[in-house]
Amino acid sequence: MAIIVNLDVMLAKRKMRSKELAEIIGITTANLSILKSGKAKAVRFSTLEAICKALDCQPADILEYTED
Amino acid sequence: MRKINILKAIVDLLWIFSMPIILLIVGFSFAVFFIDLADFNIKINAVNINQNDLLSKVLFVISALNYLLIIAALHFFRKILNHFIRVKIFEESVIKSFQQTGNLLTISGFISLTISIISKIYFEQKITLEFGLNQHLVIICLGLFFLVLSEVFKIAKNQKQENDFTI
Repeated sequence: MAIIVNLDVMLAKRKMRSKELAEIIGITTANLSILKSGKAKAVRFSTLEAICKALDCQPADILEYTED
Repeated sequence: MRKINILKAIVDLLWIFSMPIILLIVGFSFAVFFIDLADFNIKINAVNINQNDLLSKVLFVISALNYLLIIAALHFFRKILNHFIRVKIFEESVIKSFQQTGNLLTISGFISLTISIISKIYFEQKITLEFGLNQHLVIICLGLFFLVLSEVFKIAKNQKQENDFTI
């Protein structure tokens, strides 16, 4: 997929665990894992907003576009 | 979900009753080549098979084997109902079963329509045009409806997958 999710990198920068983030933003760890692995087909603005708020970052820090 | 149980019970009953008929059809399809058809008063689709030549026997065997296609369609329909009862709706096997049921019913409808036309011409020497609810056309329409359903379920499955993977 052309959109890469850099959630792992941001989690490492903020020294936060996936479980912790999942609890803060209110989604299951299974869904967060889908998002991290790039299997997700779409991300809701509300989820993106919650992630950005929890990690204190911009959407561009999490999502990246690359040529296929 | 009570309605599906009633439907399943009816389909299961039809399936159980069709089991001995399968054996009868297969056995009679072989035996028909060794007996005189004129001795029996065989009537298929309102046409009396009263001649003992090869074409009558072939027509008889084809229409008997055509019945097996409907039984096979019934088998795939039972599979679909089993999935629905277990609330496994948007699955690849359901889509495939819908497609197989549709294909079998459509083929069966076309075969029975062709046999009906040929036997009307051959045994009664007349060409008839029927309007209204013709059983062959109903079977063809039912088959095509199942094929449309399989397409609809394919779209629904993709949309469900997309919805499931929206975080």
